[in-house]
Amino acid sequence: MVSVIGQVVGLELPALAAAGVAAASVPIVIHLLTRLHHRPQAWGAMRFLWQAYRRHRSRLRLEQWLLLAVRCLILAVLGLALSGPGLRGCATGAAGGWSNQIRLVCIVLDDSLTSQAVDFDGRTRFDQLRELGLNLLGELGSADRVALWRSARPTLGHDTSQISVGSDTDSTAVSTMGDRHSVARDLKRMRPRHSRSDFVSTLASVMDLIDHPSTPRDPDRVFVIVLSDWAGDSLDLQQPPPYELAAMAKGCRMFLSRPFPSTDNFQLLAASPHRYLILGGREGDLGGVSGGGDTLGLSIELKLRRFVAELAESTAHVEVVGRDHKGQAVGEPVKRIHRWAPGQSQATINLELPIKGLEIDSATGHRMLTVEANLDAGLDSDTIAADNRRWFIVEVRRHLRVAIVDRLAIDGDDDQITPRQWLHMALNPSRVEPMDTMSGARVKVTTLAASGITKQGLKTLDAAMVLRPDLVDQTGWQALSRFAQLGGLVWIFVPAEDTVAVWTTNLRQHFGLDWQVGLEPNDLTGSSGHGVMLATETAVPELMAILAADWPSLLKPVRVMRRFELSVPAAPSNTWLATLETQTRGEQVHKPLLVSTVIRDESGEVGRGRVMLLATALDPKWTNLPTKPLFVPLVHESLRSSLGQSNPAAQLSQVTCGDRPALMQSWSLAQSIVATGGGDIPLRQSGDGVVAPVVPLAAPGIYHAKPQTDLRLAVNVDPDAGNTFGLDETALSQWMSGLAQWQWLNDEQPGEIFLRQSLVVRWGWPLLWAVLALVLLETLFARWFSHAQISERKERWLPRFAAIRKG
Amino acid sequence: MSKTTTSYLDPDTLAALGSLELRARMIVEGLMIGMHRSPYQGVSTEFAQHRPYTPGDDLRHLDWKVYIRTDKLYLKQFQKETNLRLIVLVDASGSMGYGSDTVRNWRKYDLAAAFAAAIAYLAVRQQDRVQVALFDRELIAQTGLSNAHDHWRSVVEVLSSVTDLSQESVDSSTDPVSVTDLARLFDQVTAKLTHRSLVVLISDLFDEMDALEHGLARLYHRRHDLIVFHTLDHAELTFPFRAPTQFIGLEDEGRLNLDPMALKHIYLEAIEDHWRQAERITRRFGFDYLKVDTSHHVGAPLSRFMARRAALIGKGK
Repeated sequence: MVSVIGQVVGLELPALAAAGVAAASVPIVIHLLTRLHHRPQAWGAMRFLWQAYRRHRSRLRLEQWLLLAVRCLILAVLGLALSGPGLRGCATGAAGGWSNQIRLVCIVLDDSLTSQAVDFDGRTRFDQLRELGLNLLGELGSADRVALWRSARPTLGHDTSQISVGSDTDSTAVSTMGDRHSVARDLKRMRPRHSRSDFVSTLASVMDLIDHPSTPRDPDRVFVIVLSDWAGDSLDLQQPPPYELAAMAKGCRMFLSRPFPSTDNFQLLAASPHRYLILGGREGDLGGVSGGGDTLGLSIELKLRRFVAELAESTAHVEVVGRDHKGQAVGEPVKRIHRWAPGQSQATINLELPIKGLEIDSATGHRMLTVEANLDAGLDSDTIAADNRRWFIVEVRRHLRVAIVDRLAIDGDDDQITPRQWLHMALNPSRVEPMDTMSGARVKVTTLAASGITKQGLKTLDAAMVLRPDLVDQTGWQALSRFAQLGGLVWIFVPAEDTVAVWTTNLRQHFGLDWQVGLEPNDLTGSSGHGVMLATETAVPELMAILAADWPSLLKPVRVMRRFELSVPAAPSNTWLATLETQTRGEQVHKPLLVSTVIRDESGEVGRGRVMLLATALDPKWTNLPTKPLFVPLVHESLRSSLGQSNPAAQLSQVTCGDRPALMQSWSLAQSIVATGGGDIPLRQSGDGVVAPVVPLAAPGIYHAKPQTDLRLAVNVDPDAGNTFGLDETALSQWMSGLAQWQWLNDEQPGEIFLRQSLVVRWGWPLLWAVLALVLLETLFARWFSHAQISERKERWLPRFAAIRKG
Repeated sequence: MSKTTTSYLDPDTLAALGSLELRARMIVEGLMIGMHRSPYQGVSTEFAQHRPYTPGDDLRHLDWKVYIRTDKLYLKQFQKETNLRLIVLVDASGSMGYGSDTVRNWRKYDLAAAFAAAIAYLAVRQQDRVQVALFDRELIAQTGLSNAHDHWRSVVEVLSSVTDLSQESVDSSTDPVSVTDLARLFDQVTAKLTHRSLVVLISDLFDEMDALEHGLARLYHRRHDLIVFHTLDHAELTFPFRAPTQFIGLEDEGRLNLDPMALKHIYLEAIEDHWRQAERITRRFGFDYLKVDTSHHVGAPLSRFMARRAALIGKGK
C-alpha cells in the first residue's frame, strides 16, 4: 500500500514535507504556552467581563480552534508545497487538463529511403517507427499539442501554411501540427520517401518552434522525440553538431529511438550513357553510337553497389531497356549477369543498348530516348527495392550543325590545304565537296564570315569553329559568348598569320576566362627541327574517354613547331585536352596545347557551354596534327562530348528525389509535369525566368511535360540514401551528447517518458496558492474574531449598530 | 506663572498631589479662580462677584451686559447664607480601587474622594451642613452633619481612611473583599435622612440596576434631591488590553483567563449598556447624572453640583 502511494505521490524534498508537518505543531505549542503565561490584571468591572464571557464562551472556543487549525494548516501545507510534490499515474488527459499543463511534443519521423528497408518480420522500418509514433500519441492528453516533422529531404518547417497536404501524401512533404488525433491521422497516411534524411535542418526547424513565444518555457513540458532507424548516412558523425542546436537542451527533453540493426541492400549506384547526345541515321557513326541502318547502339555504364555485412560471392542480374516518347520499348532489352567477387562492394558494367525503330521527329530532327535500368540482386536479403531502378534520358539527333568561321575569300595557293579544308575533312571524313549540301551527313557544316557573326546566325548551330579570331569584331565576340552560355561549343583556332594576336584580349574578356594567352607565337622547332611532342603519359581527359585505349598511340606522332604561349590555371572547369611536353633546364615541363573550359553565364554560375582553344594553327608550318590520325577523332570527340555534356538531357537525368529542379527555357511553355502513373504537378515560372515544379519531386521515375510530352525528366533515388548500415550506437551517443541532453526511447514502453516526466502533475504551485489563500483566510478570521486591530471605522460604527439593535 | 482653571482641574495635576486636602482645595480654587473676594455665594439680592461660565451652570444667572461688552460669558453670583443639608455618599467597595494609571496611582476612589472633599469644602464654606459617608456593602464610615469650620477636617480624615482598600485585595485574593450593595446602602441612608437633603452619590454603581432603581425611588418619594457621579476608569470604558490576560476580580469575582481582543466588543457593549441604564434610571426620577471618567477634567462635575445646589435653594429650600 505504501509503495503504491509512493508511486503515485512523489516528493522531491521529503525532508521539507516532514519539517512542514513538524512546524504545524508550532501554533499548538504557542497556544499552550500562551495559556500558561497569562498576565495577571486586577479588574474592577469584572461582572461585565464574566457576563460577556458566559454569553459567548462557545463561540470563542470555536473561533480559537478554527484559527488554530488554520494556522497549523498553513505551516503544514507550506512545507508540503516546498517539498516538490507530484502526482503520478493520473489519466493523461485528466491530469493535463486539470493542471493546465499543456505539453508540446515534437516528433521527428525518419521517412528516408532506408526506412523502406524490410525487417526480418516483413515490416518496413517506417512501419515500425510509425507504430512507435502512434503509441506515443496515444499516451498524450487531448490538450497537448503535437508537431510532426518528416526528416527526409526536402524538410519543411512547422508552419502549416508551407504544407501542401493533398490526397497523394507520397508527393508532398507533410509536416503537421495539431492535437494528437489530427497528427495521428496524418501519420497513418504517410509513406516513406526516397531521399535521405536531413536531421540538421529538421532539428533546426524544431528549434525554431521551441524558441517561438507561444511554446512553454518549461523544459519538462517540451518533448523532442526523434524516431529514426539511424542508417549509415543519416548523420555525418565526423562533423561536430551545429552550435546553434546545442541550445535546444535548455528548452526541451529529447528522446531518440535506438539505431536499427544493419541489413543488406543492393543498389544501382549509377546508370549513365557515355554521352547524352547521340546521332542516328542510316550511316555508321563514331563514338557511342554504332550500327547500320536505323539501328543505333548506345554505350551505357552501370555502377552497382551493395551494403552487406559479409561481402560474399553472389550473382546480380541487370536489365536495361530503352523507350521512346510513347513509352514503347525501342529494341530488345539488354540483360547482363554480374558475379560479385568476395570482398567486392562496387562494380561497373559497360554495355551497349541497341536502339531500333526509334522515330526521329521530322520537324525538330531529334527525339528524347528514355532508358531504364533494373537490378535484381537475386537474394531475399536486398531489403530496399526502390534503389534497384534508375532512369536517364538521351537525346537522339539526326545530325549536328557546325559553322566554320573563316575569311570567305579563297586563298590562291591551290597546292596547300587550308585550315577550313582540314576541318571539313575531319568533320565528314567520308564525304567530298560540296560539303554544305550533304544530305546524309552526321555533321552539317556551314561557313560563316568571321567579320559578320551575329546571334541570329549562330541560333540554329551546335558549335562554331573559329579559324580567324583575328577578324572577329566586337559584335561577333558578344554573339559567340552568348552562344556558349546557351550551351553551344566555341572552338577557337589560332590563325597562322604572323600578326600580333590582339584578339586574345577579346577572347578572355568576352568569355570571362582566367587564361593567359601570348600575343605572339613561340618557335618550338629547337635544334632538331622536329618540334615538340605531345605528352603521352598524362591522364586521358574525360571528354576523350571513349579514345582511352588508343589515346597514347594517337598522341605520339603529333609534333608542334609553333605555338602561342598559353597558361591555364588548374580548375574544375578547365580541362587540358592535349599537352606539350617540353624540356626546360633539364626538367620536363607540361604546357597546354588544347584546352577546354566550361564558361560562366551572366549570373556567374557555371553554364553549360564550352570554349576551346587550340594554341597552334592548322598549318604544316605550325603542327602536323591535321595530317595525323588523332585529328579526326579529336575533332569529333571534342564536338560530341562537349555537346553531350552540355545537352539538356544530361541535366534532366541528374535530378534526385526531393529536388525541385530548375528547368531550362524550353520548359517555359509547359503547364505541369506528370510522373508516370502519377498526378500533375504544376510548374511555376519565377521572376528571373526559372521554371520549377511547385513542390519537390518525391517519387523516382520519368516525368514528362504537359502538354509538351516530348520534354522529359528523369528523377532517381539518391544512392547514398540507401546505406542500410546502422550508425554505431556509441558514436551516435557521443555526437548527440554535444547537441542536447537526451535519452534513448524504450521501444517496449515508449509512453513512460510522459509518465516519468510530464505526467507527474506538480502540486507545488497550487499548494503555494493554497497557502496564500489560507493566510488570507487566517487574516480574515483573526479580524472577524476581533483578534486583530479594529479599524477606526468599525470602532465608530459598532456602538451605533448596538444601539440600533437594542431599538 | 499663574495656573488656569483647566490646569487646576486637570486629573494629572490632581493625581500629582499626594494630599486629599490639597486636592480638594485645588479643585475649589480652580473653580473659583478669578473671584475678587471670598465666596459664600448663594441666592440673594446682594451681588457677590462674577465668575466664568461653566457648562452646566444655570443660564438664568448669566450677565448679559458683560457678555455684550466683552463677548465672554460670566455668571453673576450673589451672597446668601443657606442651611442646605448635603449628604455625600462615596463608594469604597473593592471595584473602586481599580486604576488603570498605575504610574500615577489615580484610582476611581481617588477621584471620588477628591470630589467628595471638594464638595464638602464648598458646602462648609457656604455654611451648608454637610455629612460624608463611605459605603460598600453598607455604610462603613461617616462624619457628622455639621457646618462647623473645622468639620471639613473630619471629612478629609474619613475619606483618607480607606485609600488602600482595593490594592490589597488585588495582591491577595484571600483578603476580605468589599462588595457594593446599593439596596442596603439606600435602606440605611433613607432611614437616617429626616429632612429634605441633597444627596451626592459617587460610585461606579457596580451592582444590580434594580437595587439602584429601588433606592432612587425611595429617595424620590421622600423628596430628596440626588446627584449621581458615575465614576468609571478610562480602561473600563475602552478595554485597551491586547495580550492574553488573567483578569482578577476586585470584588471576589474570581479569575478569568482571556484573550482580551476576542471579547472586547462584547464587553464594551455590556459596560455601555450598564452606564446608559444607570443614566436612564437616574434621569427618570429627575435626578442629575454625570458619568465621570478618571481621565477627564473635574470641572464639569463640580459645576453640575453647584448648579444643582443653586436650583434646589431657588426652589425654596
